[in-house]
Amino acid sequence: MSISFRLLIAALIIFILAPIVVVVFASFSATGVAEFPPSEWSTKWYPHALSQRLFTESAVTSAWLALVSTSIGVPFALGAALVLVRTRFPGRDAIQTFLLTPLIVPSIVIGLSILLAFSAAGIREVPMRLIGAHVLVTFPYLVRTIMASLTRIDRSVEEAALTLGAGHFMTFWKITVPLIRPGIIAGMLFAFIVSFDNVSVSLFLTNVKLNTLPLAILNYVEYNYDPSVAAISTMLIAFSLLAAVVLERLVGLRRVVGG
Amino acid sequence: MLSLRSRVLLMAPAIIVVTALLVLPLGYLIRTSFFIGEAGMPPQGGATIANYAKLFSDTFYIRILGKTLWLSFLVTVVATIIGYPLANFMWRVSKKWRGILTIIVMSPLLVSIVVSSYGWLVILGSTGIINNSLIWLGIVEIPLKIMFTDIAIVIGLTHIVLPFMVLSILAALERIDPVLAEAAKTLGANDLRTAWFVTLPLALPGFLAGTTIVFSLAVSAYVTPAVLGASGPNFITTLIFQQFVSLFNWPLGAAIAAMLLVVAIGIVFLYVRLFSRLGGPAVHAQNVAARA
Amino acid sequence: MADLQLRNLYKSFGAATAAVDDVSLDLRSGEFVTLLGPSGCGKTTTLRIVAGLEKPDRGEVHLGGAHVTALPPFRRNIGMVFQSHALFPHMTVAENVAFGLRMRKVDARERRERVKSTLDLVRLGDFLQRYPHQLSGGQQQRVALARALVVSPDILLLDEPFGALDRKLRETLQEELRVLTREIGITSLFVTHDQEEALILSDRICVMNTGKIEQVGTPQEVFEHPATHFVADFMGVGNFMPATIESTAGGETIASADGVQIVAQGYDFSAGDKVNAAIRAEKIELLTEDPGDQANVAAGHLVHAIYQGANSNYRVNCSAASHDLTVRAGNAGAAQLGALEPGQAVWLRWPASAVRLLARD
Repeated sequence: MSISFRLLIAALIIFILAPIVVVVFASFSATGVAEFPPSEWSTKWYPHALSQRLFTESAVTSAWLALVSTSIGVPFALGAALVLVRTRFPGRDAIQTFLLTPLIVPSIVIGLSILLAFSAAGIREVPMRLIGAHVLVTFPYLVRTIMASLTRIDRSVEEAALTLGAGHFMTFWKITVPLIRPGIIAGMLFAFIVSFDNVSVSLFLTNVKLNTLPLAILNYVEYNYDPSVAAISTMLIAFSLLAAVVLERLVGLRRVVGG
Repeated sequence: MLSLRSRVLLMAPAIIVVTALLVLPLGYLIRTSFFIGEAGMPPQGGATIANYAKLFSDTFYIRILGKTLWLSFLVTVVATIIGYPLANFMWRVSKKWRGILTIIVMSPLLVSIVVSSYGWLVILGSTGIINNSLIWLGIVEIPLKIMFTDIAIVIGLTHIVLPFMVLSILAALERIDPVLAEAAKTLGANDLRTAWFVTLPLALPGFLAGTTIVFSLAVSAYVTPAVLGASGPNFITTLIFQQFVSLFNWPLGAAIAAMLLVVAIGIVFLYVRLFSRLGGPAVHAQNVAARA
Repeated sequence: MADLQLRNLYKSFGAATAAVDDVSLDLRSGEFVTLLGPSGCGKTTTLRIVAGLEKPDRGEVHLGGAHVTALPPFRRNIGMVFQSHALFPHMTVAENVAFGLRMRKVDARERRERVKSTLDLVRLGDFLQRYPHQLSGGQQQRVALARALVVSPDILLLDEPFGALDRKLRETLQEELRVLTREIGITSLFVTHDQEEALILSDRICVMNTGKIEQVGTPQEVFEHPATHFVADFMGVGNFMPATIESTAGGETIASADGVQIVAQGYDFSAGDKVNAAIRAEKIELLTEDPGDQANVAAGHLVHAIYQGANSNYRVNCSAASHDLTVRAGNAGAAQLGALEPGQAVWLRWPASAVRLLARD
């Protein structure tokens, strides 16, 4: 590989990491304006950010929403994945594509359609709308990761359990579930991130009283330019990095995204 | 293994969930787009194509739609040009480095888009890194206006769609038997010719998949144009937001959303059609559908 | 320990030919039988039907006198060893072996004892707390064997258990398995495509091809007296000469192949029948001088000689054979043969006892 090629790659990596690195540095700026590199260093924006209820309350909402939506999706995804991986029948591919369509529908359209349909159906509670929308957008990721881990199981391991006297349920519970557990956890973790970071689906579904963290940040930067957003963002980056490492260890990052 | 009864019992709940949360609401969204709409008024019943007529006759809407498609096209081109060297590099380095690079390349995906948009704000703003550097170097005297322009949108969008492009191309590259490139070299092809005649054609499915995903993601992006673009509706998504939230014209907003839906799904559909004509496996098409 | 009867098993996966086509086979209690054949011959499907992992379209499986065709695998008392080991990767060796006992609700104390003694049997008594990925391929396969044996199954089923191992290890494990199964006296059904492995291990061999049984017999019978062209070919006979029966008299059958007179012992053909005379390469003697006008001698030219260590293979072009004949001779006392030149005239001679006549259609 030539020097110029390596330089090009280095430049591209800088492009990819720039906005993230800049945010981390900006969060340690002592001045009231986010700057890079900071002219003076300080950690004061962290306590400042954490003392704002706008951020803390919405963070709790987001975490709660992500956890609930992801947990609801798992049993549905597990059932579907079992059938899709283990059986062959006409229309199987069509059903699989159908379950993954939430990925190709623009999320802003998903948010809107849920707003309209839930309003028409008389469902006005914000948590219900948010959970409905987030179950939908996280669902394909769960289906895919669980399918991937089911596909990787050596079927003869389950057959061995059957020949040793374990019934179908016992085999599923003692053999299949432990073997796909890393896949399920990875899927849930990635689905959690997808839900937690989501903006365009939640956009139409929140209100002043109940807001998610990304939307709260979005509203905040419209009128404020101080580094407390950088501090919050840095904490989110740390969380993402941790999640990335865990995902890479569990099943491999690319498998989760579908590489 | 699974009896018909247990298949149905396992499968039906998932289908019901997606139907209830996606199919029915989308149906209602399309229905709403035919309601009689007026700014500031709650949607009224009836059936009219007035909303669509307005979209296709008013240059204001056509311009925004055209701009959305144009910028998304630019993003796709840029992402392809810079995505290939990255994928090629990842393909050739050792396993350990590939793992590290995977985390780096995927970072825009893992870090909240709100965070990276804020980062671009710090970099591209009038007192941002770029302008400060340019002024310090004496290249410009007054800060360039990058932030809140279409350029900022293209930069921000390219950044977040890049992982999909790189991973699509990389997946295609990894399916290539490395012996093929060696064979080409023993037959007298140099590095460049090998890349042009052997590697690139074989990686073509990856490019097709990548451009499809990237374009359909770009068209439906909201946060980047909203934060980095000029204020006011500058993209199809921000236009939808304005119709719904500021102008309260739900039927017109629904009509624009329906158009976005057609564009996004149409792109993937076109890809699937095109790809099956090229004789590629349907599996791959599904992969794309899944990732977009 | 129990006997096994397969009655007219038939199984099709929707392809043009059935995977298993009218297979009937009896295993006596304590007998070691091998299903031998090329891949796709139906041997694995037959084994899986015995295990209950596949349901036959027609036919019956009787195990220890009980009709088990409709029973799922977990209601049959069987032990199975898979080619991929199929050890539970999330359980230790001890937990793997104990699994079948747990499913049979054996109490903890007895379980511990049986797990330990069975693992001692396969010489892995010190590996209780290891995980499968910490073991070598051979050790993994021994654990799989212990796991199958610990439940005292009516029958031990083995699906190409040594297929993934290297040659040396495979030989060691074959020997161990042979000794172990005879010691316990367990009924065993073994699947392989390796004829040598089948010969080493089995009391009887059942050769299969395209879903059907070609021949069932002791290793010696199958090796020395193949019943069909397929079996002869699969067992590596090597030489086939198309011939026509001339006469049968006094326990001798005489056939001719393009002027070469072939004499065989026994057989019930009548004059004019078309046959293939099959002769193992190592039963043929290579001569450099004309032995004179005799039966069971063919003249030809040496095509080439290939040195193979203990043996050499000589390809000889004879007008009597449909293609070149092969002679395998030991290199120990054959110094004079080493000097043979390609193209040289040679004579082949074989005893009447080495000739197998197989009907040709």
